[in-house]
Amino acid sequence: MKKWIRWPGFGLFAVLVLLLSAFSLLFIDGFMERMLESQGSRLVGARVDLDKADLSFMPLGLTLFRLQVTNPDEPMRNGVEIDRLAMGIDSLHLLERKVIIDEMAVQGVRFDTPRQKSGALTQKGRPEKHGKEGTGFKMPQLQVADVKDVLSRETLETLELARNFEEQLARDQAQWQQRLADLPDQQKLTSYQARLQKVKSSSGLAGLVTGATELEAVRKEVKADLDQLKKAQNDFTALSDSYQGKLAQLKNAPQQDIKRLVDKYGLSAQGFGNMSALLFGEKIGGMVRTGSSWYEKAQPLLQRQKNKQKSAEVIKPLRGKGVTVRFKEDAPLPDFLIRKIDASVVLAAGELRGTINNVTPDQDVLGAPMTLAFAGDKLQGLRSLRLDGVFDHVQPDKVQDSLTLQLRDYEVRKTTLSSAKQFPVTLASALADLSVGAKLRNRDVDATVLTSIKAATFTTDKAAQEGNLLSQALADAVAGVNRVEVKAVITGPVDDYSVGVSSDLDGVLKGAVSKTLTKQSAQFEQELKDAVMTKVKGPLAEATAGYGGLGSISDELAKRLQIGGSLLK
Amino acid sequence: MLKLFAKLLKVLNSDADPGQISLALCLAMIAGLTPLLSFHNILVVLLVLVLRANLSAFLLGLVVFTGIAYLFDPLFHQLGLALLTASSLNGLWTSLYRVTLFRLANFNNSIVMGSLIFSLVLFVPLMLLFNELIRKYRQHVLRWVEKSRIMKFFMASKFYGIYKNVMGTGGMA
Repeated sequence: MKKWIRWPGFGLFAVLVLLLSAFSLLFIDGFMERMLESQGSRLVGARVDLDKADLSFMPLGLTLFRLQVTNPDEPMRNGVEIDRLAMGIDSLHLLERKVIIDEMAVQGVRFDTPRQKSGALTQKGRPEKHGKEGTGFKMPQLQVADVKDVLSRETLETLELARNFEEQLARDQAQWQQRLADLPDQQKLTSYQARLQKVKSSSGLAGLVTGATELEAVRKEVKADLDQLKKAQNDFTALSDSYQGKLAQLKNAPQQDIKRLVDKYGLSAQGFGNMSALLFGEKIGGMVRTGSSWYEKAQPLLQRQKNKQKSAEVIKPLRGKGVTVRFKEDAPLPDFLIRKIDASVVLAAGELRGTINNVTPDQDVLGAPMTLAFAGDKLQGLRSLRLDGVFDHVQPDKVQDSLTLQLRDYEVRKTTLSSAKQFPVTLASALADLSVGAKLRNRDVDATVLTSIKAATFTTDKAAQEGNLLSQALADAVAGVNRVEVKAVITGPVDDYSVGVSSDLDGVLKGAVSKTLTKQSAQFEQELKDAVMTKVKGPLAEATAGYGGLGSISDELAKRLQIGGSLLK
Repeated sequence: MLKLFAKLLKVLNSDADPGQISLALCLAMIAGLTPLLSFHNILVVLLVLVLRANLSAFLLGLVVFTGIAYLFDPLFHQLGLALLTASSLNGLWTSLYRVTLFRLANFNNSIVMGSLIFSLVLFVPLMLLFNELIRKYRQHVLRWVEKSRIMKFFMASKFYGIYKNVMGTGGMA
């Protein structure tokens, strides 16, 4: 036994344990500070800085001083800055590797504060932005098209029809000239007259008998020729009628061309139906993008990746190697849980107070959703603010998140609504009520933003409107508005949503635009009409003259029929 | 490092019980192959200090096995995950999961489980193997090495100086 046991080893072990404990007590705060900074930076994708971390053991608790979380999209600004963050940690559960915080006090939360040093992590690329950038809110074009340009780009149907008409007419005329040549002509018909005279002048019985036979033969021949000529005349009449119809169609074609081109290049108030998107789209789009970006950043706190393998649950840990397998517990608790956070948020308008409950990436284990409720009254430039949210990931495959925000009497000062070059608009002053209701089912968002703007004063840039009739009309219309109701509807997948904006301002602006457009459109139509008529005048005249050429064939046929008809009388 | 190796050579070349050296190497294997800051490694350190395991052999073994562990991590993960998710063992793991001490030991991590089982399974066979190798070394290799030209060259090197310091003045003798 003595050969294998080294009794002083126990003492040495005890000394080692004591030394390690003493070392931990001395350096644990610094170690904790660096660990929180590095882990936080890894999670956020930008620097997380901490002025001081203070770990206490009896009872177990942690206090953090001045926590700065860089906004990954703007490294010179903090997304969030917190003055003091204090929490008590359940030491018994910590032995089970579970961080359970019953209550956390967060004081002095500020958003979007400036940083002295860049918080960018050099080794990591910037995350991709979600959603549609600048969701296409553009000033509708009011550029009257140049008539010459239009005619150089477009093919006129009239010219096509005229060319076809003339080609067909020339072919038919040639055919009829040939047919006229094949038909009995005036000379042949006149020769029948000579034969008839000869028969009439014959005398004697034999002459009478022979004359009667000859007369019958001549009559038969004349009748046959007349039948041919009549048939030709009927055919020609049908052809002439068809050309008459074609000519009428050709003469109507310029009007059709003008109508088509006016429809295509002319101006209409249709594109101006949703001017709200132009005025409020930028602001609402920006708000939605910010919300969507923070929602994505908060995902690790709401839910984490888990796979069910046989009877155990495999969880991909936030850090470290391997995977952690979770088994059934008597009283299951998440690996990380903050039951309640009491927070005070410092805004430019004043202080907001609120609570956040059940912060955990394992809501399915806890069986309760994360909720938040913040409120502030009598704030500077804002009568009241209320924010409520439920982030329900209890069933990971049936995520149901909802958020409501109510702002009352928010004083708006010098807010740029549209930075479009042709129509820059600023809301100089107003009182606004804002109501946001957003629901998220799995990855599909369905949100409505209702804004009621009262006592509004809109200003526009006079210089930008110089010589622009539309901008002037819009500016005049906007200047006369003092109440606006705006509704924005955001729908679709959270990373590819669409924003629809409407307001009662649309009707006012559309009316102003319509008047200007009607005047401009009429001018464009007249110019186009003149230009088209000039272009088709020649071909139309040629086609009409060609049609007139058919008259000589008709006359010739009529003459031959007249001669032939006189022979049989 | 050289000093540590020299100390190991000293132990190998001394009359120390081969079992003490083998035990140290096998305990080093557990501590080295499993994540170093695991709870069970406190027990390993206690065993190293209390049992007459050779400390030089343990420290050198720890360095070697820790280096090897990175190569084997994917294997440990696969093995650990297979064990932790095996239906037949679910009852056992669930019972252990409800005991705070085992939760603290992080046994439900695939790499901790895989590497611990791997090293425990190899513990006895490796101990026997190391024992046999040390005996063979002392019986055959040591004598041959002492007479070889390489050894004469080695005796002129810096390492030999360190070795002599560790041994005292006796050198290889």
